[in-house]
Amino acid sequence: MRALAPRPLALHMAAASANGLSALAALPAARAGLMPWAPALAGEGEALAGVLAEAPADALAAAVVRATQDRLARFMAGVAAYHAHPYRRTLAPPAVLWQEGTTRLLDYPPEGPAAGPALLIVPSLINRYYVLDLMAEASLARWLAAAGHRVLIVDWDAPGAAERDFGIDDYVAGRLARLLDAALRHLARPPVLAGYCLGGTLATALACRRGGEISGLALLAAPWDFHAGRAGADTLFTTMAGAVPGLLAAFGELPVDILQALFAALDPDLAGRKFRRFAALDPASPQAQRFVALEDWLNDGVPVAAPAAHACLADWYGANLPAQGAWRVAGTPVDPATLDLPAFVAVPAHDRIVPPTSAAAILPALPRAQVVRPRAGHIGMMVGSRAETELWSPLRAWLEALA
Amino acid sequence: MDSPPDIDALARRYLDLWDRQAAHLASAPASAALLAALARRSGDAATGDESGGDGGEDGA
Repeated sequence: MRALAPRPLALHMAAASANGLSALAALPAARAGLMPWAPALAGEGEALAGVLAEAPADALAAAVVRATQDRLARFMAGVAAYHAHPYRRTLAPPAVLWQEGTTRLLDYPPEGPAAGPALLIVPSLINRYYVLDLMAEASLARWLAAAGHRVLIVDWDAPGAAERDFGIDDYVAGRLARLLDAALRHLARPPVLAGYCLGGTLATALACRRGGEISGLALLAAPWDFHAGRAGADTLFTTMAGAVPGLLAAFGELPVDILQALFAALDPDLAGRKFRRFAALDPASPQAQRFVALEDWLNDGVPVAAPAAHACLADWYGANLPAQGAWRVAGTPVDPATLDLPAFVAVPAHDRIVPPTSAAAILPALPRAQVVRPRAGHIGMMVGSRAETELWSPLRAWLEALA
Repeated sequence: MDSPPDIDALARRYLDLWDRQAAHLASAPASAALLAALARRSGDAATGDESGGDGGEDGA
């Protein structure tokens, strides 16, 4: 799996090279103060132009080439170190409580007497569930179970023959509804329904259909206003939605590498920065092990069924139906204002995948919500060094208040 | 008199700014249209449709 990572590897390598080459080509314009910097960078670009102009042109160009070569070398060293790293995820697999098609409901039973209602977590469709159970020292599921909370997690896996034509309605009104039925058969009291990332959007829709059968709703970095905080990304996603039918016709699903390429386009040097930093770490350090564990998870994404992928890009990122109050699932409006439930909403302050304003947009509809704003990014909130204090502990305290 | 800036440090500062410029460009409408066109072409190529599927124009 790692040999192709970070996925798509060819794209990341090409981006690293192209960034350096285009920077070199643009250097004369930047020195002359003629570079059309993006508006947010214009002041910095203008200030830099004066300094660049004072340096000898040939020597400066040679220095840019050296810096580019150094970056590429450190990026490739980081990738090679990642490929060769001995870490492997070895956690014992949880019991399977229910299965339909490729969807499984995983069970993390509580250690000791139950400290509150069970937590049923819906992850995103595009990444695997185990970011919630990444490593022994970074597992929300095992940490809550050790504290006396039963945790049930949806493992979507990749779409199989039964899910190949699934749309969002099939996932929410069909698969998730039956999964909730199964959970209720095993539980003494209704669970708290939770969702992480796009799984939170799905969980909100299920809650709106089955609000009387859950004890609360927990939304963890879940987008609601898909245009909030995205000056340019909505353009990218909306435009890409127009290309999706051709891709779906070709592949029958939205392939992982296309999805990864889409995210890479939002910040072309992100992989470069990550792997250059990794190259400088001691491979035996806990930081390096956590990097490898997380990178393995990121590169282990799953394709999305064609109709669901199209709805996600066109209806959510494109038309922003949830925040417009126009989203319906199987004919029923998804209106969180109709929910009369305790709620927990986590809005990571440094989230670049789901901007804080996107996740917080649902708050006016949930007046009973407790809000936490972890000082972390989208994934760091869940498995980073501050996860226990900034997310896990507040979530546990909220669950115990419902006991 | 100020000492001249370290030219390698200056090059790195310029590259850092350039990377951020690339991130801004990636989400500009024209870039988004180009990415979408590339994605559409890859779908066409995979299905053996070499016509471009939309008459060959790449407009968003």
